[in-house]
Amino acid sequence: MIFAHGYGCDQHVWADVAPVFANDYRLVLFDYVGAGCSELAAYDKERYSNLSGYALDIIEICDALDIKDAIFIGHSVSAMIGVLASNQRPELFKKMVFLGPSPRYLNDNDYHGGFDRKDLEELFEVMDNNYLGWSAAMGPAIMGNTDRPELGETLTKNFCSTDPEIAKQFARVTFLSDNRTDLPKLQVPSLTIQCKEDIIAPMEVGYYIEKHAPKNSMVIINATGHCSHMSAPVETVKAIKAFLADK
Amino acid sequence: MAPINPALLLSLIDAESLYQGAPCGYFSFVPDGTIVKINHTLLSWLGYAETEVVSLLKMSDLLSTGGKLYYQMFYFPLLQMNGTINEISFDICKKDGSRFPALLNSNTLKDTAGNLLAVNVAMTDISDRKKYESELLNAKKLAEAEKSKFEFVSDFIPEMIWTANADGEINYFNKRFADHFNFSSKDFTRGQLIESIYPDDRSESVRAWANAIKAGEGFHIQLRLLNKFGHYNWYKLKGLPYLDEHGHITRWLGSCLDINNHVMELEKKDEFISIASHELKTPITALKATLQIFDRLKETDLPAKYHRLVDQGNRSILKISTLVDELLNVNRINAGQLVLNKNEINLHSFLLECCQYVRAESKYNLVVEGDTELTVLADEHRIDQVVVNFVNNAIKYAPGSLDIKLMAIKEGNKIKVSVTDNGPGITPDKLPFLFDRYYRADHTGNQYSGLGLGLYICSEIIKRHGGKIGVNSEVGKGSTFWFTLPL
Repeated sequence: MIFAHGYGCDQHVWADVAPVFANDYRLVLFDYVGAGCSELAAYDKERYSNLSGYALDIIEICDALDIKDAIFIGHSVSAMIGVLASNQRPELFKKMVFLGPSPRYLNDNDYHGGFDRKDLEELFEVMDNNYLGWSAAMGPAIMGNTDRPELGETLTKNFCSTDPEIAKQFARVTFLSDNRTDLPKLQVPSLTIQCKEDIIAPMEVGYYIEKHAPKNSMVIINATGHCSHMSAPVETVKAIKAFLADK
Repeated sequence: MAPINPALLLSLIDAESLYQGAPCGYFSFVPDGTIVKINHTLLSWLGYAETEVVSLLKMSDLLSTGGKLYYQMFYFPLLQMNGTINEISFDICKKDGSRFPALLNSNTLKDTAGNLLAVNVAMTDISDRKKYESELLNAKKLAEAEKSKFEFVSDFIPEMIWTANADGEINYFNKRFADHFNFSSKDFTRGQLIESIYPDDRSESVRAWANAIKAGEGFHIQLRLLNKFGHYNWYKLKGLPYLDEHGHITRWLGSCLDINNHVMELEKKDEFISIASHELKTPITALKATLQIFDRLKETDLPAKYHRLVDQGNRSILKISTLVDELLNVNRINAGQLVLNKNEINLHSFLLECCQYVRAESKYNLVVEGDTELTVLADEHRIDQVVVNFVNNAIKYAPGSLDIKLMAIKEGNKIKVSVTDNGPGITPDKLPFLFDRYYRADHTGNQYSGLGLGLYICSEIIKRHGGKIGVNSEVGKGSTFWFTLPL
């Protein structure tokens, strides 16, 4: 069972969910490059300029650990990363669980993704403002390259990702991606766990995936927010178990 | 001191009023985001009544859309994992739709099973900080714009320009400078510049530079530098301190002038003069001897009508030999052969005795003033040469000034000797060059004769004594030529 964390987090987010499956499955938890305790030197701007780079990470993990027929649990952006990985190598996966998935965050004609570009610009601004606890403009300007290790510490404490530049690029890649055309190619059975009130992946998006991805079903759980595995771990585990039991 | 009454201490602190009136905003919300408690400070910032918020608004209602996203993606997961999260900046929306920037510190309240019960948030308004930040940023942008403007201009002009920080470390030079010496502005070091100085000039130039920076005064250093053509050419490095409004040096601005042609010309001139003056010396000595014989014959054998001619001849040969002596002096100075024979001199009596020929033979009146007791260790003959030169100049260029003032005073740990006339003065454009070799104040007309060497020799003599030489002059009022000698 592979647990793929969402954007802005690291593998610790699975603390309330993963251990439940430890007796029945071999668990694989990891941090994407740039997140958590990953090797920052391994970051390749080119490779991670779109989600396929991250999908390749999943495939490489499977190959390295000789994994086949895995259960893939992907939160947020990892849902689509999982879709891309499985479309390339369907044999690696048996079933996929998506927590708060979205193939496209931006609204587009009839499609309701939840955000306008202006909202995203605002998000990027908030991210910038929290770069090193200073506004983005001031951070580099005032601090320059001066050695302020205590700021680095705050940063590490406050963010799962230790490198703000990587975090920014990942954010752009995530929120500007459009994986709607990848959904119909998905051959592996999948489950969407949809929160009732999730501004990042609204209900409409859950229905859209159910409609366009073959063999997808959706469970709506009574929780607010985008992190059902943290805010409603019991219901989340229940939904996953039910899906896995279903032949 | 008597022990403090614990009851008094307890009564000092009223938690509720501290909470309500704190200089920061407080609120608490339950896991679905609903706000359950809020203090007066935050209510007044937001413009809400308590009844409009509690149980009705959610935490996310206070955030912009971007802020909501950020909250969902980062803030909440992190808060769940860490239990606390500090100093995250959000734009907070007020009731009237306007926003203000704030820093949020949150911590979670969990039950024994680890389930989230509530989140407490403390909020600080950072509008002021943001304002200062943006002002600072603007100032920095402005400064950078000025800098790039300066660099654009300085790259454009044909001169070589550099700047240094207050300590004299070169931190910028323009394109022409870089090209000329093959320096790269990226990895330029002080050592690189020193390396390119001609070995014989190196230690003296470096010392002169350090002294000039220490003294905090404008300076110029003449030295040979290796240029990109592989030649050691002569350059003049000039520097001027840039003072801030408090009069502190903030940086140095300077130029680097290629003076190789000028120096080469001077060298050729020196060489010619050296040969010519040595060639002239022998016949002059012979001529002098001849005239001396005539002088002696004057009394007995020569008719009276020839006496005037002999006197004329004597005066002319004196002039010629003075000129040739001047030339020989220059040779000696250039060859570094100016040797000083120092003795203790009483300056007052020295000034009274010098220039006897002026006192005896002319209409000019030499007035000696100043400290009568001053003594100094110096080469009397050479110092006499300097004072005579000053006095002769006064007579030559300020013939209408009948009183010439000679003065010796003590100034700190130096002695200053000056010669003042009430003549027409010297225009400021000429002042900087008066002590240069071959410079003549009026080189267009034939009004004044001379080689333009007198003051140059004076300045070299004073330099050898470790003193300074200079002139203060005001057009229409007169000039003061002065020199200092260390005590």
